[in-house]
Parts: sequence; C-alpha cells; structure tokens
Amino acid sequence: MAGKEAGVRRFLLQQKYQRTGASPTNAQTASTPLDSHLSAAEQRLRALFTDCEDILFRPLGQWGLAIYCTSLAEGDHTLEHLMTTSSPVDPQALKERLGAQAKAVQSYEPLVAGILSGSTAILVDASPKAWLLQGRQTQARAVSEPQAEISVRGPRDGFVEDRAVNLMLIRRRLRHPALKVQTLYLGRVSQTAVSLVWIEGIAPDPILTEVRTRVGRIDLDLVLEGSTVEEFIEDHPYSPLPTINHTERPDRVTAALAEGRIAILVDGTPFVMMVPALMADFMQTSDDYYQSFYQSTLVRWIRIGGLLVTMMLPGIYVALTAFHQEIMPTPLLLSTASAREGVPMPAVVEALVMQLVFEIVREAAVRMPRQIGSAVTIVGALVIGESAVRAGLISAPMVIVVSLTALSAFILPNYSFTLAFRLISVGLIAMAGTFGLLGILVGEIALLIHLCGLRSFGVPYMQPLSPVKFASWRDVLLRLPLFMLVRRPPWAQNQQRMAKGQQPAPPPGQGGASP
Amino acid sequence: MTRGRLGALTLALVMLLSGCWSAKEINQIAIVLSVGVDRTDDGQYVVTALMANPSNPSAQAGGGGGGAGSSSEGGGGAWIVGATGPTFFEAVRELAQAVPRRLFWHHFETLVLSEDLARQGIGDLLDVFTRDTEVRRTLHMLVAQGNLFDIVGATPILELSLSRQLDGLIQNRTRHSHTAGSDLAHYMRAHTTNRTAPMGLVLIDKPDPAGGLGLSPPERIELESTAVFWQNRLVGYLDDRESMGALMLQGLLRGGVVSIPCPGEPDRQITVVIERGRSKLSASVQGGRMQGDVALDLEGRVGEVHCTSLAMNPTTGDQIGRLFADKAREIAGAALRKAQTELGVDPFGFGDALYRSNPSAWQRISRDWPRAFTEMDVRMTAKANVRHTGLTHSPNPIRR
Repeated sequence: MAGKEAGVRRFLLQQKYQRTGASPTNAQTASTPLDSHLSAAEQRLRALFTDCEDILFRPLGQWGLAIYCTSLAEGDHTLEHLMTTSSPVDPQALKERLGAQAKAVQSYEPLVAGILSGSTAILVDASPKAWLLQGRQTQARAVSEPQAEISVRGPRDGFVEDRAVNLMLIRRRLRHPALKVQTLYLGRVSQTAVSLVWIEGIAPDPILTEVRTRVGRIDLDLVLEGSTVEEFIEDHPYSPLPTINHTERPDRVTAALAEGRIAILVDGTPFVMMVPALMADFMQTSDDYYQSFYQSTLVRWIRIGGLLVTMMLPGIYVALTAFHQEIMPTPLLLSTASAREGVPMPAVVEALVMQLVFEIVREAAVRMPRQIGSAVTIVGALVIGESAVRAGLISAPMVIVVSLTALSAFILPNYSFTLAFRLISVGLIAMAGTFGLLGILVGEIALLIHLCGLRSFGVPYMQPLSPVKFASWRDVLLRLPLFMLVRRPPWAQNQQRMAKGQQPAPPPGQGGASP
Repeated sequence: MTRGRLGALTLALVMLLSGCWSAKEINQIAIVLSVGVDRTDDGQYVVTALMANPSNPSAQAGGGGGGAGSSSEGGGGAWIVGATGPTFFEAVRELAQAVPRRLFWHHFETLVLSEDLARQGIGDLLDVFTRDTEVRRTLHMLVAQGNLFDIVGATPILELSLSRQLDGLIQNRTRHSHTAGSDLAHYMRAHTTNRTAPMGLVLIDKPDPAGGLGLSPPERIELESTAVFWQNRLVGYLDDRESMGALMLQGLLRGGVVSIPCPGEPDRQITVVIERGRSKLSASVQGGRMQGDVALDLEGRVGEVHCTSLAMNPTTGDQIGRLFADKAREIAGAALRKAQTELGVDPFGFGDALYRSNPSAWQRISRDWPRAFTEMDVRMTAKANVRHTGLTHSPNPIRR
C-alpha cells in the first residue's frame, strides 16, 4: 500500500518518458490501478493533494466523489445534477449523464494529470473506473494580431498562449485527415504540453523520427517557452545561427506544414517552432506570398543586401579608413578625412564602441516601460548621435555606418537570425581592425565554411545554394508566380504540390477586342 | 576543454598579437595630391607638395616653409610645403621634416614640372615615380609655362584645392580638345617604344579678361596646348589647334568645336560641335622613303549658324560635312607640319603603324628615326558627317 502511494507521488516529480522515442505521446506509461473502494481512493488522493488549497473534494451523495482544481476548472452543471442524485447509478446511466466528452480512466496517473489540467474527476464507489470531465475553458488571451510579425495583406490572427487554441487555428486552415498531431508532456514539474504537428505524406519520415527522438529525450523540470525546447533539440547548439524557425502567424505555420516541415507547439507561448529551418527561411515573410511577385523578389534582394550590410559594412568601413585609403575615390577620401579629423580613437575602437552603444540603446528600448520609451530615442539620437559628433569624439561617417547597419538589421524578418549576424559583424570589425580587408576576407571564408557545415535536422542549412538545387532558386532568390512554384523543397516527400500549366490567360479567340 | 578548442583559442590569440599591423588611420596620413618639381641651377631638385588639409577643408591656408625649401601662398583646403634636395626622394624626406604625418602618395594625381626641368630632362625624376609602390600610373604630368610656383600656389576656383581644380581641368579637357597629353601610363608606353614621342599637358598662367574688369583675380590657370617629349626631354609645344589635330590623328578626338565657312558666304561661319573622331594611320616604306596614310572619320552636329540663308537639307548637310572634313584635314595637317618641321619627332604613331604592319621595314628605317618621319609624305583623306542641327531648322526663324 505504502509503496503504491509513493509510486503516485513519484509520478509528479520523477515522470520520465521512454527514451526510444517510439511513442512519446503517451505520458501515462506508468500505471497504478485505482482502488475500487471509494474511501481508499479518497484517502490516497487526499494524501497526494495535502496542502493544495485549490483542489476541491466534493462528495456526490454516498456513491461517488468529484475532485477538481478550482484555479483551473469551474463547477459545472452536470456536476450540480450529479450532486443531487443521492442513489448510486449504474455505470451505463452515469456515462450517459456525463455526456460524450467524459473519459474513463483506470489508474491514478492519468486521473491526477487530468485534475491538474482542469478536468473534473468523478470517482464512483465499487468501480474500477473513474471519469474525467473536460473542464470549461479558463481565462485565455483572445486571438489577436501578432505584435512581432506584421503583415500588410494577410490574416490578422496570431497564436496565443493556449496550445489548444493554437491547434484550432492550424486545424481550421488544414481540414484534412493527413494533418497529424501528437502531444507529449515535458517538464517534471511543469508538465507542459508539447505537440508535434505534421502532414503525413509530405513531412519526411526520417526528419519526423528525428524530431520525436530529440523532443522525447528532453528531461528537465520546467518548460517555459519554445526556446527551452529549442536549445535542447538544435543540431548545432554552439552556433550563433538559429536552425529552428519560429513564428506567431498561423498562416506561416500552415504553409510550412504544407512544405513538409514539422511544427512544434508548446503550451504557454504564442510562438510555434518549425523544423527544418534553413538560411533561406529566415529571409522570408508570409507577405512575400501575398503581394505581387515582382515586389516580393525585389524585397528579397533588398533583404539579401541588408544582410550583407549588417554583417560587413562596419568592418569594411574600418578596413578602408585604417588600412586601404588608396582604394577610396579621392573626393570620398578627402571628405572622410575631414570628418575623421580630430577623432581621438582609431576607427576599429570607434566602430566597436558605437556598435556597443547601439546595442545598449536597443536593449534599453526593449526593456524600458512603454511610457518612458521615447526617452530612449531622445537620449540615443540626440546625446549619442548629435553631441558625440559635435564634441569630436565620434566621426559622423561612423554614426551613419552604424545607423545604416542597424536599419538594415531591422529589415530582416527574424529577430534571432538578425542578432546572429550582428554578432558576426562585431567579429568582422575585429578582423578588419587587425588585418584590413584581408581579415574580412578570412572572416567571411570562415563564416561560409561554418554555414555550409550547418544542418537543421540533417538538412544542409545553405540549401538550395549549397548544395545547389537550381529548381528551388525560384522561391529563394526569386519569388516566381505561384503557378510556377509546382514543387516542394527538395527534402520534402511527395515533390509535386500542384497541377502544372495553370498559368492564367485571357480567353482564346477574342482577337484582343473586348467589349 | 578539448585539444581542438584549445588550438582554436590559441590561434585567435595569436591573431591579436599582430595588433593593428600596418594600420594607418586616416588622420595619421598627409594625403599628397599634387607635386611641383623644379631644378635649381646647381642641380638641386625643388619639390613642393600640396597636401589635403582635412581639418579645415574650406580654409585658404597658406603654406609653411619646410626644410630649406620655399613656400608659397594659397591652396585653399590644402597645405603646401616645399623642400630641396639632390634627388627627389631626398627632397621629399627633407620635406617630411615639416609634416607631422606620414606622407601618403596613393592619391597623388598631378605632377607639375617646370619648363626648365622638362627641357633638361625628366628621366631621373620619372624613375622614382615608376619605381615607388605608392604612386599610380594614372598620374597626370603637366608642364608649367611660366613661373612654376605662381601656378602651384594659385588660388583655386570652384574647387577646394588646386589639386581638385587641376583634376577637374584634366577631366574636362575633352570639352575643348585643346590639349592632347595623357597620364603617366601613356607616357611610359609611348616612351618605351622609342618610336612615338610622349605628350604631356601644359598649364599656363594667363591674364583673365574678367580680371581687367575687377571681377576676378587678374590671372588664372589654364590647361591648354601640348608638350611633346623625346627621350624624356621637352622638345616643343603643339598649340591649341595643333593639339586638336594631334587628337584627330590619334583617333582620340571626343569633343571640341571648329568653325567652317558658310557655303557661298565665306565671311560667315558655321560652328560644328565635334562628337567624335576616328582615324586610321598606316605607314609604308617605298624606295627607302616613308609614306604615311591617314583616313579621318569625324562626326559632329551643328552648334551655331551665322549664315543668312542656309536651308538645311540632305544636300546642304553633305556640303557642310565636306567643309567640316576640309577643316579637319587642315587642322590635322597643321599638327603634322609642326611635328615634322619644328619638333622633328612623331607624337602621332606613324612609327608604330609601320612597326605593326611591316616590322622588317621598321627595322631598316629605325636607324634613321625620327629623321625619316620628318621627310615622310602623308596622304590624308577625311570624311565627316554632320548629323543634327539642334532644336531649330535652318534658316532659323529668329533670323528672319
């Protein structure tokens, strides 16, 4: 008896999932059968929930007991009805009264898990089964427009903190039985629900197996956000570059699923992760597919330019002003020289200081309460920009370079990707300050080697650029019209995604004369 | 820490050991833009260097004397310093005594030579400009007619420094085509053939017509005419017209204007704007005598018409073209005559043409070069097209 009790208690703190990854869905692998005597069961559960003020035990006449968590679930009409029923009922009738959502359980572990996720447990005397009634939805943020990913033309709904709502948003867009969902619970204490979502027949099986294995072997106490999971399942945890994408937009996840990616939903965060995530994915937005393909192609090239500027501009500026004045055109050299006249620091120090100052301003703007946020702008722009130049501490071209670098960074859609390149740019400044353009070249080569070696769940990070897949360039370097994007990414199953030859045209035989 | 990571860290630290190897901050260099060189009677080089003055680019800063050298006034946005020495390099190091920064020669654009030095020979001087790693072959060589230091110390107009002004004058020389010289690379290429005489640009300090009215300083600097060198010595000049002729013969004409008489009205003129000119030079040896052939092909447009009655139509268009071609032959002929009779060297490339078409004939004639050039007969043909008449037709309604 005592051993059994300890077993249930251990359930909360020592729950572990099978390491095989074969079936991570079912968290309730351990099982302690229910006591058929109501009093024994009640005693055991009361011991488990000692000092849990929000767990309520309500007797149902003489025949049963209802247990629920008041902070998660509210008492429900069915329950009121049951409480007025004084005589024991036969199981069949009880099931009818409880309705279709009621779930029968036969052991303690799912029962406790159910209570702690908002269900009402109904225990019946002299029965080996208990019933779990799905609780009513408690407080959740309403679906609203995503704050971090604005779209000009596109759906305005965004994910919320509730995983069930998020699943609803995805399922509503993919009404097909091939959309599969598998949920497991991570965190010994938090018991956070984590769902894997994919489309069978499109998502490649090896990648799916890999995701299951990696997620399944996570063993920690607390999962607060998707990033907690992300750090445990990345291919290259030490790389500054993200290999897992995340978004707040259900349309984006839907599109990713249809391309063969696997979505990971974590309860408690509005960010849904998508794998595999390649370099090209971090350079795209959902708007790319909602606006004219000319516009999208242009914007994609602007982003590529922005990426290069973010990464290299400060370094190149340092290399030019400290090493290679000879390759600047004479008028540019003369105006740069007059702007730098009297600046006490070498260009490399100046660049590093300004980059640091910008990071301080950025971090301050993010952390500052909104009411005094404008103070940051004033201090940043006026004090640092204007006064430092006037005082001759910083040269004006350096302020321009750093501002341009910062602006270019903000046109990249993914924040963590941008931060990685800002970090790389600091490295390149140091290289430029040490060896000039040669240093930049060496740094770039090292970066390219790193990029080409990266994998996201086994898929090369630089694909389709390296290894080269020309067919995919039409949706990476360009964005061709949708009717030409017939194929899925090269690593997906079932390559063809639509019928060919759907290019629209005016009706034939009209000779161009329209009424 | 694994062995690999330790190795990577060590490598990274080793990189830092080098410090900022060969870094030279932009405000630690003195950007030399122009240099003036003269030679005293006792063989000393007098060098003046014009450096950008970045701390006050619009200032009218006068130069300070350096070493044992001379100084001069003017040079806004720039600073002029001078020094003397037995060689150019020694003079420059002498000059460095007065300059608080490292002299930076990569942006050295214009070299101004005094006429005396040019006549004495510039071979020794050009050695350093072709040997030094910092000097570019795009350097332009100019010969100062008149006092070198008046020209080098002149007050710049429109630009912040004289050097920028000279650069602008050089860039804009195709507007008038009154000078035929080019940069150091072209000079070297011509010189090393031993056939073609290199040409340089000429700077002249001239009275300014507007100066007489009190509107501007009384003198101004002009870029015009061409200095012709042979074996690194200045042998003479081609004037404005002859310089245009030299450009025609070389096929390098890209602009400028010529005036031709109106058909039927010799005292009135049409000004033709040259769009471009091509040429085909060839040379042969017949009976020990060199024979040159020139075919000019020009294109232009009508710029100004003083004729009282000229209806512009295809016939008169052809007529103007023929007159233009005649004029071109006259201009090119003048240049050729000057070179053959007064200068005695070939700046146009007839020798090259012969060498390319018939190397063995060149071998025979090279012993007698450049005298063979002065005795050469030249057949010149010219054809010209006048394509546009501008925004109005002729006769222009405004003249009725």
